[in-house]
Amino acid sequence: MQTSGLWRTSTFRLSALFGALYALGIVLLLGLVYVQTAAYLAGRSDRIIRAEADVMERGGPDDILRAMSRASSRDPFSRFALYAATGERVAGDAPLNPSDLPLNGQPRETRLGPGIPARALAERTPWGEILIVARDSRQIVELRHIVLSALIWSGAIIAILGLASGIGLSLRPLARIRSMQAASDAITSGDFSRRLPIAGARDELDELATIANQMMDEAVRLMIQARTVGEGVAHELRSPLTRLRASLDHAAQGLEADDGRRRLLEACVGEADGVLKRFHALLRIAALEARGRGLARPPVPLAIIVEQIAELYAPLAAERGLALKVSSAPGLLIEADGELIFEALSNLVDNGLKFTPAGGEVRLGAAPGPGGPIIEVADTGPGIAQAERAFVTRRFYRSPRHAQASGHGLGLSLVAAVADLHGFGLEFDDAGPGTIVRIICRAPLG
Amino acid sequence: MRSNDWPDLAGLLAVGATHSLPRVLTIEDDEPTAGEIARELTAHGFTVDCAARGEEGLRLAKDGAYDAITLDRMLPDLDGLTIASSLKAGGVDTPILMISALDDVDERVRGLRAGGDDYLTKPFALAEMAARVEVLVRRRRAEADRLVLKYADLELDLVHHAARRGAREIRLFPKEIKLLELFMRNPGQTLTRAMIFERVWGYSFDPGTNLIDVHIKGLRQKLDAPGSASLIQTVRGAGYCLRAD
Repeated sequence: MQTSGLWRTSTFRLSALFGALYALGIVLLLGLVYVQTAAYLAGRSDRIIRAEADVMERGGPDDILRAMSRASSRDPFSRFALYAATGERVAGDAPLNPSDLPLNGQPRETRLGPGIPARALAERTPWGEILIVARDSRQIVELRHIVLSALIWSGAIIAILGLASGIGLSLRPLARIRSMQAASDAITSGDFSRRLPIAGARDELDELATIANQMMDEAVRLMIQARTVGEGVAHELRSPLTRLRASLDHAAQGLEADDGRRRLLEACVGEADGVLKRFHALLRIAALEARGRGLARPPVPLAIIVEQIAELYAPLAAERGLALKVSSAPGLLIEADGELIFEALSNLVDNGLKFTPAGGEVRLGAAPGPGGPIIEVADTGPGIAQAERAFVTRRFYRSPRHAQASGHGLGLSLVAAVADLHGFGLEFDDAGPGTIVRIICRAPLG
Repeated sequence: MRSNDWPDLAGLLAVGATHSLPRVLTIEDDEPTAGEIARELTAHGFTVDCAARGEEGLRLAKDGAYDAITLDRMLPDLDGLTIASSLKAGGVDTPILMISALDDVDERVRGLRAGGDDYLTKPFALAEMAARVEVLVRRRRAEADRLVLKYADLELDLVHHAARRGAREIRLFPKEIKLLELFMRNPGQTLTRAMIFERVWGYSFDPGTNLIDVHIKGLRQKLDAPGSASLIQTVRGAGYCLRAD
């Protein structure tokens, strides 16, 4: 959300809308003033030329020439012309011919030469000559220009002011939105102690942030409750279960080796061991999740971990008729708890060996990636269906297709917890056929 | 397996010991747990003294010549770590098995660094605890720095990384040598899978499936002549044991 976000803020939209409405109002007002003024000035011109025509005609044919020269000297804006009935000019200097205007005595728009607009009328005098009275209306046109440029300028200034105030007013809410976004990003990436910032302005943003924070509090409370219920059960049941296992074991030891009851008791011990292992794994994941990120760790060479895994699992792979292939680019370092990474990788390789049918292969590789080393565990097994990928890291999730396989369904949860603890990415992909699991590490800084 | 199938520790350890039965001090504030530990260790041929408080435990540990101590990490008065480090500082080199409810790699490292010789997380199987105490006691009494180990007709030379059974040379990988060394330093003792994984590979999580079993199987194939009984025997429900019947 950069500048594009600015145009979308409600403050900006509101101030832009008000700016536009205000500009429109100003344009309408000035337009009205302009139309009214223009009409008034035109009307006034018309009345003057009408009055002058009347004055001249009143004196009759003998007096008209004198009246014309008098009027000319008195009013520099008025021009006159008198034509004989036959059509030749008798007096006056108005550059208009009787053919230019209708002889009806109604003033109308015309020109007194290039660039000189005017109002003028022409009519036949009672004694038969043709009188033309014109009035220079450049003033009106100039006024029109003044009003028009006022219109354009004020409109532009208001639009710019509206835009600027919109941006100005939006910057603060936008900055607050950004800090809220930063906070919610932190929350999404696992920092559940963060909350949305509250500016203390008691405005609608603060209100929204308060509501969101209350929702977060409740969600975190429920999450902790849900988690601690499971952990509490696991924790509380471990000791009695261990004692139960010990008693069963003692009872089994007391029977002959070929006694059927002994086999039954030993099966019970095995089941109890399975439950204890699940509890142990569950508590371990919980402990990892509670540990939180941000611990500084010394860099660990990946090649050594990969090599150890290969050495640890080679016999198991050989026994299952699988090829275990490892590769590691030299010099790869990750800032991580080496033991946890080892445990996570051993889980992934163990899964690969468990689900891949004999004759297949499991590959473990570490290679440099754009943001840091990428560790990849790939197998040629049945793969993880696209729809299942979102679930596989959930606690106790086991694919319905592998309900028969041994294990407690916590392996990938642990891998996810380890990756999360380090801020590493975890990705599932299709090896076609088979599964690829990628751990995307961050390279050590500096 | 009956309790009399356990190695006759008393007999094994009698040589060089000032007393016939190895003595263990259990410092544990939870009475039922202390009782269980005492019962199990007694069944394995130990004499057990219990201390419920840290102060008392520390005093007993300093005065009495014990062969091993089981030490609870969390005690009402003194912290287990404090007891371990003050014992080591006071020149008491009795091996200590730290027992803790805190299950964390860092916690484990802290416990071992403070002077614990081994670390066990609560809740634990009693057999696992007993096996670890036995290994601690034996390690103390045995010549830990010996570099040529012998058991029955098996010989392991740690200087030349060579192993032989009778006249037959056996070629072993480095991890197999470590594995065999663990068994040969603790003959006749049950080693659990968790102990083996910790001592040989240095990791303390549950490796899952039958990972350790496969490694043992590989080692057996190299050690044993086809058809003959294996030197490394399976102890059902517990682990493995080096024993020549």
